Amino acid sequence: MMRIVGRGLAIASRIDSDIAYELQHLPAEMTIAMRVYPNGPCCLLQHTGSELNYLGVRDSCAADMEIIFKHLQHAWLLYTFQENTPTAFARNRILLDGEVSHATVFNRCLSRLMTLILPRLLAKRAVKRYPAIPLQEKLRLAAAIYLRLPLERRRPAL
Amino acid sequence: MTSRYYEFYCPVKILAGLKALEHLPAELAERGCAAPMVLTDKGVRAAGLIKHVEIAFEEAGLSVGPVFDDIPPDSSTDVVESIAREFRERNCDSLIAVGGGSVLDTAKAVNILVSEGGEFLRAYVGAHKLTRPLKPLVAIATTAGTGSEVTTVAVIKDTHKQKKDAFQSSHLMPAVAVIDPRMTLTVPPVITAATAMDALTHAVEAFTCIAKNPLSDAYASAAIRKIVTALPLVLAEPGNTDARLELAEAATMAGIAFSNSMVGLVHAIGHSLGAVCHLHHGTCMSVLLPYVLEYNLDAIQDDLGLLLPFLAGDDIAMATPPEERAKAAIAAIRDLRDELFEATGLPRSLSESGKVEMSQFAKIADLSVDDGALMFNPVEADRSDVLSILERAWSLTD
Repeated sequence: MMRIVGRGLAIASRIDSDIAYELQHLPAEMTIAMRVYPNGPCCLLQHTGSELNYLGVRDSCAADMEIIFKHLQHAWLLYTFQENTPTAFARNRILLDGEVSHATVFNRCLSRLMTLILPRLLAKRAVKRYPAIPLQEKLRLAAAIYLRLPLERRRPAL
Repeated sequence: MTSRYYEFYCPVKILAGLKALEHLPAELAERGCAAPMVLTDKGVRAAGLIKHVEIAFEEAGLSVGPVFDDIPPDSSTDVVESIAREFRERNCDSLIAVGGGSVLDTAKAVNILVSEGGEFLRAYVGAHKLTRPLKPLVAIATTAGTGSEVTTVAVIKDTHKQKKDAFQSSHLMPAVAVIDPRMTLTVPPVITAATAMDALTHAVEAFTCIAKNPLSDAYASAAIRKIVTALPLVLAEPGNTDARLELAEAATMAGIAFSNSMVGLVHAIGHSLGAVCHLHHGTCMSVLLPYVLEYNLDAIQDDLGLLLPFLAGDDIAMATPPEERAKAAIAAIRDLRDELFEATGLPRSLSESGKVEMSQFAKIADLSVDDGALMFNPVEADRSDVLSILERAWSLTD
């Protein structure tokens, strides 16, 4: 699931104007990791200045901003859409190592991705508020993300 | 199986009541400290409050260390870095912060540099960047509101980027917090009212936002009852030390509550409003609180209803049908806001503050949605939601 979310974010950052707009608020070349404490898998992304690059899922990594799940089950709750990111933060399941304002921007990107790739019923559990989005637009973007997922490759860090 | 989980942490030793300041030398000695540096601002010094600290040390046969009294209301990285240099040059070993939110946050930030090392605060911006316990910090609040004496957060303006940076770590909590009624006796009525509304907002948001837990609920609800009881008394009798102590204790209790359950949209907008318009934080809270509660109402109906007895008294709560209690709680907060306007002139709306222009709303909304507090609000809010709350708060609509 980490791979799907990581790759999905990278693809969505290139085709969705909402995510592209949000990314303007992050510094160029900033690296973002989602990892499980202490030595769990780590999904690494990098903001190029205009989009997100998927750097892969690794055994360990360090990044400018790290979203750290304190236990594997907490990551499972989030990646299986049983709990949204704000709730995971509120329940102290996640540690943030980095700037809080950057985390809020990244959370909006993550919520937007969930909104696009999940059926409405599932997405409503994964985000705090399901936004008004025309069905046609959702289907077009979801199809584009899913079709490109198998082709999305790891990229080298800038 | 329930997925519920929470954490609660408050290692701060609280000294509260008569002659609390006089216990300071013993507290420092217990921590092996002999050379504290005192941080304060010109206003606190001019009000003679540092004298109380000096006398407490003299009575113990000691003298306070160097006093830095030039902390501005909106402290910055430059100020923090220069104090840290002085701390090292003078071989100090602990910090005593005497003041309001800016002084206490400055002291926390200085403590980062003098304990963790380094010249520049920028390296520690964000959450969980601190790796070890810091030097002993004693927090003596001279306003009853911020709760900074028991929180894990410091907010400091980055001089170069002209934006406010947040630092968050459990290591930032002071070792000791002193609640001595002498220290808040000289606070003018309008500041007393504004800071109390800040504390009330901490408690209400702690009780209604998504990181609430049973322990923070207990602190928050008790704090609310103390505030609504003690605040009118303090305004009627500014020299009433018992009421002053009640209010200061309530602010600390609200601080403990929100430090463990965070705050929400009122603070997200309030931080931005303060940054853009330089409106006093307590005034921002007082103006925004009813409007944000209305915005959140569907999601917080039950929790807010539970606060009615604390806000309006048991008799009114008992006489109000359960489904109307949340709205009655908002009405009670509005009534308090109006009473404070009558008693002290504390603004009831953004336009009444005289410091905000509608043309600034877009900038405020942009900053608000990037504020970490928004994460913990029970209802999502985007830029247009924030704009509509600001428009409602512009002039009195009720």
